[in-house]
Amino acid sequence: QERTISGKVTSSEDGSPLPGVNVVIKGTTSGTVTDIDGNYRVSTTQGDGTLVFTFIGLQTLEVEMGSRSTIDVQMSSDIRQLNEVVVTGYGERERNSFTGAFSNVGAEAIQNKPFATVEQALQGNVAGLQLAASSGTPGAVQNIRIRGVSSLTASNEPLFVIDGVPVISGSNNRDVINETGTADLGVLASINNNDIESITVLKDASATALYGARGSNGVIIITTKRGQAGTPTLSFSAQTGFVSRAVKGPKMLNSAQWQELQYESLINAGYAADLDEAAALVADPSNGLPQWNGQTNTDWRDVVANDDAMTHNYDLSMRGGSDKSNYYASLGYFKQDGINIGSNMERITGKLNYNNQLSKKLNFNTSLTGSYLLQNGQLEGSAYYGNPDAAYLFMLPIDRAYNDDGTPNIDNLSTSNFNPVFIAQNDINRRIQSRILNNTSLSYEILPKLKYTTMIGVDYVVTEELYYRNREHGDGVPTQGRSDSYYNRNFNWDWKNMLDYSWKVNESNKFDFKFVYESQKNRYFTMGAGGYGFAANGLVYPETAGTPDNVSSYTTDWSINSIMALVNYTYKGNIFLDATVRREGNSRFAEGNRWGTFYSFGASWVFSDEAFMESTKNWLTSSKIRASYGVTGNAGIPLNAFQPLLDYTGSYNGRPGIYPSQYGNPDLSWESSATWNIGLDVELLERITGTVEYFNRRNYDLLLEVPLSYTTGFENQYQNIGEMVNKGWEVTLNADVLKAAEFKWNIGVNFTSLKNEVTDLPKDANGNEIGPSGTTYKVSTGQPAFAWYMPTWAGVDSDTGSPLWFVQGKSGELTSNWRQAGYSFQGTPTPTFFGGLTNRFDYKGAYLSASIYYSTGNEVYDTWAGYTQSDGRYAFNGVANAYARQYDRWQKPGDISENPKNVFGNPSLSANASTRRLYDGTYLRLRDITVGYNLPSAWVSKIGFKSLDVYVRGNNLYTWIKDSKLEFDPEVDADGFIDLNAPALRTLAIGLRGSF
Amino acid sequence: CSEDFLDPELSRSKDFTTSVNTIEDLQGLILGAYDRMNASTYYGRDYVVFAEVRSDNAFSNGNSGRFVSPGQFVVSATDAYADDTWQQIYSVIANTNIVINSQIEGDETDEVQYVKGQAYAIRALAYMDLLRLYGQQYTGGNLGVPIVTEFKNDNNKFPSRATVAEVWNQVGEDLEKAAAIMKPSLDSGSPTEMTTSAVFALQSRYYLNVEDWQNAAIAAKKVIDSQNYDIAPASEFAKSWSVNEGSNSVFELAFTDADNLGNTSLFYIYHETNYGDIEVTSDLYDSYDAADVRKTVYTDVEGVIRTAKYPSFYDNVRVIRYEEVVLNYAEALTHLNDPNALTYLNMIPQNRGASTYAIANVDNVLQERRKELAMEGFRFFDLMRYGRDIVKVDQGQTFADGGISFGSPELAFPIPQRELNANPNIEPNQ
Repeated sequence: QERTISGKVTSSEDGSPLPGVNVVIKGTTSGTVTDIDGNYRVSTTQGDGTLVFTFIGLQTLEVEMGSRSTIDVQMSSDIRQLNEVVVTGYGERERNSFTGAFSNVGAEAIQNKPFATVEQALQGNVAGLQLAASSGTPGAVQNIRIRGVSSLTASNEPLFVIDGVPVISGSNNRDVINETGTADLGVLASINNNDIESITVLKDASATALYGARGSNGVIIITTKRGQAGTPTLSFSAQTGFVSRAVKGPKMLNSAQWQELQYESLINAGYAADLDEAAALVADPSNGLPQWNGQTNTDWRDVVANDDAMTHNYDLSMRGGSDKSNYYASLGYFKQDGINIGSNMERITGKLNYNNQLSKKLNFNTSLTGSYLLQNGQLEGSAYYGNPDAAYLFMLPIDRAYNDDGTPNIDNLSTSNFNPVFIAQNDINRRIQSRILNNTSLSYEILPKLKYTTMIGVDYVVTEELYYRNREHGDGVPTQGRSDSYYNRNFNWDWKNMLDYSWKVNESNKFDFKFVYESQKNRYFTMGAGGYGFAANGLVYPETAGTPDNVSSYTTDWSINSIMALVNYTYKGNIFLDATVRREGNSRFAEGNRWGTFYSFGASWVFSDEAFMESTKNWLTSSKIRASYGVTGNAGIPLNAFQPLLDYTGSYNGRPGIYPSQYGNPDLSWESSATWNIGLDVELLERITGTVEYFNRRNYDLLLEVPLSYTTGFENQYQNIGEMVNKGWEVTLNADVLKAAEFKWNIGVNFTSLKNEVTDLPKDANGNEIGPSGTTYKVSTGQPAFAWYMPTWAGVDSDTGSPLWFVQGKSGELTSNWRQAGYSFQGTPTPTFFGGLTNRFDYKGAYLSASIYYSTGNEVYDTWAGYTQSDGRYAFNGVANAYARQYDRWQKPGDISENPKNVFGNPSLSANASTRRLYDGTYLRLRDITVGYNLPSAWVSKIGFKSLDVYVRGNNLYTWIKDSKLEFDPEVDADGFIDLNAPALRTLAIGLRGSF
Repeated sequence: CSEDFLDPELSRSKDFTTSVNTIEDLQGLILGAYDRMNASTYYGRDYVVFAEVRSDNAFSNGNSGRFVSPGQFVVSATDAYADDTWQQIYSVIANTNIVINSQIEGDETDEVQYVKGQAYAIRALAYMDLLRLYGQQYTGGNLGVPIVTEFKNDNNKFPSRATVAEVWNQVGEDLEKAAAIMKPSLDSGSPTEMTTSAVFALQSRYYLNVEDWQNAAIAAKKVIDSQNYDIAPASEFAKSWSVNEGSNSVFELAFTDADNLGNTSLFYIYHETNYGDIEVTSDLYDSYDAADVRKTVYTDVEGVIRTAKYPSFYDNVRVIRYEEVVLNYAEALTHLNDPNALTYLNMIPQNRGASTYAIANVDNVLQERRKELAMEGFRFFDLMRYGRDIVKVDQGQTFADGGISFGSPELAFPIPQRELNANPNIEPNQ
């Protein structure tokens, strides 16, 4: 006998009707969706049963039907973090029972953000997570640090897990980075942000012990969207906008200033007595000096800028299903231009997720993603004369960018740089990355409390690379063109077998056990070809090179084998204890040192459930304290680092040459980290949630490249020495300040205070510490890792115009001889305090959201200022232009100026390494601001839509930089060096999204 | 899974401990040593340029910022020039030490001994080059460079500096050993590898440095008497620079079309390219007679003088030319007051269309060496051997107008800071 049940679904907060809510009768395929007024009507033949109400962003509600024919329900939003589920990649855990440190980022913070790689969306949204862009070229690899730097030489990058599978991250380029001179293309750039449902970041040992050595730098778990029971929902989104530089970059001398300083520098150097003599000197061609024609004034920053850079993002997705099976399918297109001419990225993605409850006991789950990504990059870093960012800083304003006919000028350029316009038009730096990612699992309930799951993940990435240097202008000229091409394949599989057993001793005591056996193998294969000498333009592949000179092909692999046991104990539903032990074998170590055992313990106590908290229950709605401790390893060291090796890649006169390439160390073993984490989670008045966490991670047995005497024939050797501590606080707060029916205001704040200190290093026979060091940094105990270490700049001598440095430390005696300047520690490249602030206002259908990122405590170093701030050493003989700030220079006794005396060929070493080139890295950035309007459902339903949303969004619209002398974008590579890389992007876009 | 699952694959390398067993392995290591000598931080470019840019032959115009600090005599311990060349030469020595100390089957055969002799000769050249660049013999000091004669000897991981005399002694012994164990019948005939003649030529170079004129003459004469080589005649001289393995070549390092240094080559730094930092002084250019064919290996474009030697980046780099050996012989005979000195000295200008000398004396020998071997990495060391100052002869030179007097500390490259940091037993140069 069929009966009908109807009712209305409203919001628990303001009582407004909720359209589009899925209503399904549990255990059947029959169901419906609420209409615009929140009304629904379902038919059933069942006498009783359960109605399930689901809607994204709201808590799922299950209601017993009983014999009622009208069931009205109120649904509340799903912000109650304390009851969230934590996705660990090895299953899900109730947030309450989870003892570790983690952060969750929902789809709203990720979707439709104009970031080419998904990690970029995490900045400012996750306490403890820092992100540094190695390059602003769309798709470039990002540096991520979770709770600081954990290793001095091994990897600091977290592990990425997508739908339970540890995937390839970093880059799949040929591992000879300097051979191509372009920023690494991130493998993660192949992921469509809009397919992501949520991201969970695991930060402490109780979370990362699950992943063994792979997880020691934290784990970022990406969960993609899945189907939902109910009628199919088709969603679309479209976004398009403009791209420009987030920070304009330094202004360079213009032609008039340049000439004025050129003449002055010649006089100051004693080559000319006055301006007339200086002018005559410059005019004499035998002196070979660049000379201004009095007219040309090129701003090379404008020349290299891509004036009509755009970003586009179009997506179409469908989700639906019954309670037995469901699906999510999507198609995505993303395109973003770089801010420099010639660079861009384009991505096409397709995805299908499918779940099926094959029987009451057997569950099948699969997801498949395919993607195609094309990136046109640019030369970056180092001294590539074809690098547009080098052209901007080095090329002189007196040189013409374009000929009269509009073609790029390639003649009579004063510096060695190539016209970046010609290079962008004629050279190729292209990568095409194809990726297939599949994850399939089957789980079977052997007994009611015993479940077996097998899960296989396969990640297959192929990257084709083509680098062409044209025949007419640039690096390819001496060889009549040059082309190199690479084909790199990376195949990764991970197979997990898990057994879950739940044992409820009695009402108060419950145990959950999990046993895991996991194997993972990664195999990289690469093939390269290259040559020079091309017969005609338009031939860009090595096949047509007259002289092939690059043949290379090799393979590398690594593998992991592990067993793991977990136990969770629950006492009375509010006290939780857990323990994990994992034994792992890793191919990166010598036989005998391969196996390591890692473990963690954790406890949490929801004390708000205790009787003694009854009196505060009305305002302290929930509170929980938790602690964890664990030891994990880090194996992120170069492959085969333990072996003494002979290298066979050399060649002499057409015959293979052999040479020793690695000193080797058979004792090489895991880096270890012991991590404490203590956290307090509270919820106040059902409006404010907050988490305060203290962490302390001690990394020991650090792998260090201990310098060897060069007389051994080697530079260094890996050894397990050294110790480092990262400790700090993380605070996360989220508050619904206003929850009125029409006006809502939500604030989210997170910040992290981080202190990094190297606590132990080995010593050499002189008692000096052995640690990585360079001309500007040094690793030393009592200092942060890679602390800046250089002479302290003391300004300009107002009597003589000489540069000054302190002889000792940062005060006292001065010297104008750089060689007598003393070295001191000058801070750290790693921010010590950072965080994000998000605000969202909703008024009726309109909304405004804004997020700000703040970072401080670090310094950044201008790598190339030795040329661009050289006080005449390089600016007037055709090597590099100078910052416009160089115009403020010492001219006569008594002058107080930023820069010393301007001398042609300046021998004073004034631009050598010193704090003159080191800037405070503090900045604040308006990371995202969005203004949008959800069209009233009454309107959109008339045109067949369920929802429709239009918005305008700006990213990186504003950046405040504390140090007025820092004209570069302060968001630099994690090592703190400002290099000749494409800087961060600012985007301004409009978008439309809807569903029907 | 078995342990095999965790065994990584090696596709470009082999485990050192089990992989040096045959004469092919030793030969491969010798080829590897040549390959390392080819690096731009050694004979591929820098070592040659250092001797020119720190002399009256050439200067750096700083066009790409290269060789500015050596040209200014301000190389610092952290400077890559000091660091890289030191590292590179010791890496060559590492190759030779493996070969010299490996006991393989058939160790006593002539073939194996020949390969080991090559290793001794390369090691001798390497130590000679290290000493000349970093030793204190020109700065009034006594310290040479560390001597390492075994690969991966844990008891000698942090060697201290031997004295100048000890290093010269090591060079001499290695060359003697090479001369003793290499059979001329096994010489390949190609100057791209060490031959017995190359060993004798190196011996003559070595003995000139230690001022053992008698032995210098004997060694040079062995090369001359081998009759394997000719002085390039005037008509061929300019062309000879683009001919590999010419008849005047005793030892040269091979670069091929497919394996060359490209923009880090000598060609790129000497010629009008987008580097082209090294220009020739007018003083050197003007020292040639108009009829001297050697003047044709220079270009003068609006006063910018460049050498035309090393005409492409895939040409071999000459390390020992027969002309040098003849001049070595002439120099030794000059000191021995041998009447044949003038005959041998004049053999070079006679084959160059240049005027000949009336007497053989040190100045004339140095002058002829300058003209013949200019831009090939000799000038600085020739001046130093005779305690001459570095004189400023061209406005393009960037060191002080007064020049650099013999004995000045700047004449020795600093011991690299990284070496000082890693090796507690090493003393810096001042």
